[in-house]
Amino acid sequence: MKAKIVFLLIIALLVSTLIGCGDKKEYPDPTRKFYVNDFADKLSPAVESTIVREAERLFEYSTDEVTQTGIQVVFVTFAVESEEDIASIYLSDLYNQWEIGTDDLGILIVYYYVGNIDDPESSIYTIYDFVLGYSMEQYVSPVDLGNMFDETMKVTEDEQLGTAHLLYEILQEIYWEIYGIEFTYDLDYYANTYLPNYDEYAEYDDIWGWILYIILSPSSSWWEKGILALIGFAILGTGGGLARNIGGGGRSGGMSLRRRK
Amino acid sequence: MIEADENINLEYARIDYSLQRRYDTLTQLANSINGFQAHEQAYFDAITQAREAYASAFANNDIAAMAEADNLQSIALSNLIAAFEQNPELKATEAYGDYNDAVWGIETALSDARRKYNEAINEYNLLIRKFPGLIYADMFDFEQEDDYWKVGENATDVPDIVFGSTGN
Repeated sequence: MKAKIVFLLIIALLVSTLIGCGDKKEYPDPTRKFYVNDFADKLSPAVESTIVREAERLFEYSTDEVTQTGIQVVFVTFAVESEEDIASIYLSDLYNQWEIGTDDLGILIVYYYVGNIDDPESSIYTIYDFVLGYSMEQYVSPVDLGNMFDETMKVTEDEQLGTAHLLYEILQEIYWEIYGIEFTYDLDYYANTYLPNYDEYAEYDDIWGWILYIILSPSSSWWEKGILALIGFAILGTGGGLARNIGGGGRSGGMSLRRRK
Repeated sequence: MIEADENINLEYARIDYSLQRRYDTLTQLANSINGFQAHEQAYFDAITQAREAYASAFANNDIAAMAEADNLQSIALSNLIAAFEQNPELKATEAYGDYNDAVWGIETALSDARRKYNEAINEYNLLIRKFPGLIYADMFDFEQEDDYWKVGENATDVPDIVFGSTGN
């Protein structure tokens, strides 16, 4: 009898310990794109596509054999009723939950649209927060970010163009400060050619065209069909995990900048 | 439990680091008002006093006194910001916007460090007082930690900064 009680106590102890090990998540998970999480539905597909493309390029560059870090720049938009709602959001916790940037080399940029959350178009004003990962503090300071904001978002009424401009300025600073590489961009071309002509479906045309070609064309070989089938199984089997960007394990100490417009 | 205990030390180290950075910024700010203010020495004295109070509390490992020194630094910072606000010549300088950004960054990091330190203590205390932790705590002599970092009533977590360079 005594042995049974001791055994039950040990089991209870183990179970309670294991239950206590569960992870609490305070904030929503990032989207599959990871680098852009437009929860307020305010960013245009063209700008979202630009953010993802450039952020992936930076991450890939920074993770190669020579550099071996893993820099991540992540944009988030939230719709909130009032500024009091913002006070309850701890961005360093969000940063740490998403684990932005390998070796703490990341920047989280958050746009809060203050107003009616059911109608983001009618937002009264916007607050912008920037949070730096621990290691990123060495290369980019809140003062640098403030100056970048003033030269981009502050001088334009077009938030989409301002966002792309801000992204390019941040990338320019990162490439230069960390790698000594000059990153150049043509904002006029972006504004006058890329944005007006952007077709959000065009990016998929090649993929779908290739898939249709493999499935339907008599010219496609059986090994091509086999590869397509394997990719299909892999995507379904991992819940689309192959196409998902994830955080690099980074943490932030809450060093940040705030601006409003 | 050991991890929770060590986490307190880690978060405490972050506060110490953030306070050091705030001291550096305070000194820079005070230097920047040289020649602009009538009672400049008073600002330097307030900063030095806060610094000495912190060094003494740190040497004695007295958390309550360290938090009090943190409050003194906050008051010195608020007075410096007020000096900028009251002087149009100072306010018009390009450095003013930069200082606002630097102060905001340091104060948010410090506020974050204080919050996480207190959360770490709270988590540790809950762990050693709840089942099954209380059994381990009793077996290995883990004691309750009472040294929360209490910010004084006169010092807000983040100073009220006017975003001078944004134009709002």
